[in-house]
Amino acid sequence: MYSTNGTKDATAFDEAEALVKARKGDRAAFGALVKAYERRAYAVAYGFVHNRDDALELAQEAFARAYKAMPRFKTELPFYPWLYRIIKNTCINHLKKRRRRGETSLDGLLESGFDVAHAAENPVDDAQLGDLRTAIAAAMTRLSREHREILMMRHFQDLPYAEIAECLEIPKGTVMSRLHAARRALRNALGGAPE
Amino acid sequence: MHDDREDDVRPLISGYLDGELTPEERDRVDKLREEDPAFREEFERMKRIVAATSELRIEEPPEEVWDTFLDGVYNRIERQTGWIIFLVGVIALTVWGIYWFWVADWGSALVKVLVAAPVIGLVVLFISVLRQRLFVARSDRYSREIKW
Repeated sequence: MYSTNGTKDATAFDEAEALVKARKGDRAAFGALVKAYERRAYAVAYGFVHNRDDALELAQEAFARAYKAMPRFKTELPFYPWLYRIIKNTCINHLKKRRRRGETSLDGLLESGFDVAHAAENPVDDAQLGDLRTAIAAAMTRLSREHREILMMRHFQDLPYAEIAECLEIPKGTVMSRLHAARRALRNALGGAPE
Repeated sequence: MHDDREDDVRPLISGYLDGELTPEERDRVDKLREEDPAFREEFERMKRIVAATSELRIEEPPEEVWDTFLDGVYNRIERQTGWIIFLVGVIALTVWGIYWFWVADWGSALVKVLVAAPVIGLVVLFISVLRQRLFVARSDRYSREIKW
């Protein structure tokens, strides 16, 4: 079991058993799945809406939808890629509703301000590094949705290539080439920095 | 570095920095770093990008938010169930109402048609709007995302 940052969770549980029980409508088992994946779900939603409150709401909404869809879940498949797609759809639907209300285009919403927090525990958190982070956060908003998504999966969710491949339903080799293209695009968006 | 080789080899740099390569692929990258200055430069640039990007973290909510997160999920599940029960009730009542509207002896057929006309008009408008929404959803490129 992995937390948002991909580290082993101390409160690991039997996911396979929880999935079987949750599929039969066991709320406690589903609750255990929620506890295991809530931070990752939040991180995914945050990547789409760039807002803490909205991300929390959408993560909860996605779990509620997942609960309803659990009878259709194939327990022999990994849970997270399935959940990821539900979260992604929930976020995109949310953004589409905002667009219908006449706020702006969907691409505009997806590319709106990308607010990232600095890693406070970093001992070399000097002004120069802070500027660089701000520049990267700004540059990420100028990337394509595809490139931004894969960078977020790798760097904000710390997902290994195999898991990214499952979530995006693409081969592992494509993950590597797309990630590389995204990093090059990020470098170009930064105007050559950081050199 | 030869252009034909770039597309094949350069993505390996990302795989190398992310620790996702096989030992053979790592050896290939190491060899190219030694032999090819352009590749070495690309490698160093990418290394800096990866290091800088890895420093970013999204804005985490306060820790106490997670204490009530699950309750929020359960509330939403209950709300969804409530809506389903409500809609089933509304549909059942509507069908029952339509049935009694025609069966009950409270006015002539002409009066019944006059009373029903605005309701039928509203239903036609609703279906029209719904159909338009479905058409937009189908032709929306983002609708491809929706596949559970």
